[in-house]
Amino acid sequence: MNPSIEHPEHLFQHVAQQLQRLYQSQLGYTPKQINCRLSEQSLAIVIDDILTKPEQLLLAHGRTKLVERLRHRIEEILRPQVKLLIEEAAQCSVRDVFTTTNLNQRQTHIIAVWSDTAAAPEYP
Amino acid sequence: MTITHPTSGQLERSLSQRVQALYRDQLGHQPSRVSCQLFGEELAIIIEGSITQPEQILAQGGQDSLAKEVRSELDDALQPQLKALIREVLGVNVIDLLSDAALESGRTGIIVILSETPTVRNPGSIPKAKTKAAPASDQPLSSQPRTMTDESVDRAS
Repeated sequence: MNPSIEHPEHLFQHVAQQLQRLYQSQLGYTPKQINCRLSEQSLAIVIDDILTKPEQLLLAHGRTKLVERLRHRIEEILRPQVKLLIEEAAQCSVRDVFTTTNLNQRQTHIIAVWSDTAAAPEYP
Repeated sequence: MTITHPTSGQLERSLSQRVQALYRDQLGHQPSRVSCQLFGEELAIIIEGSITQPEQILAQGGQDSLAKEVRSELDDALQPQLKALIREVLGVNVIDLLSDAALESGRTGIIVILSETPTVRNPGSIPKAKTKAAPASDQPLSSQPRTMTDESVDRAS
């Protein structure tokens, strides 16, 4: 466990800040609302208002399928960086990162599965 | 009362500012430079730094084909607003608008076919659209495109 993170809320805040930095540097915008939930097996993250302005414009013009493909590719490209930032924040190896975006709700859901549940972050 | 028409340079600068504002409002993206030039009944617009970050990340991730498709669809989506602002600034109708983008250089080039040459105070300064290529030295100084950079937009606004 990251020694500077003594409470789940600290981990959540740290992960949210790092994700905001990643989205700002890679996509040019900062998601305002990021919620995390920790379990023995995984860390679940929900990012609200996920769509960039170009994606919003395409959606407004009915290009839903194109936005789905675009978002899918962006998720793939960002996945290694998301995995790394979660591992660094939690000081715990991540086996898989699953990402899916709901365009209607404009939310991205991320699930990071710990490699070893015995070594997963634990908090009192 | 006399009506004072703008010069061709004023129209081109105004158009550059409006195109930059359109990109900022619709794409959340500020092009580094926009230049416009009238050629008789045609208008050339060059937008530098036109590629948004989602497109850039696709291209860097080896998804050139998808990035080009996204760019093409974004251009299509912006076209009605672009035509409207050109009509508003130049005071003439747009017959056709053709655009293309180069992901490598980040530039977008747009050729606009106008219904007529816009009315300006200095009509002699608008070069005629050429049908044959001429040597660069033949270009008059007044045919230099009017440009708008990030800094000049900030100053203007």
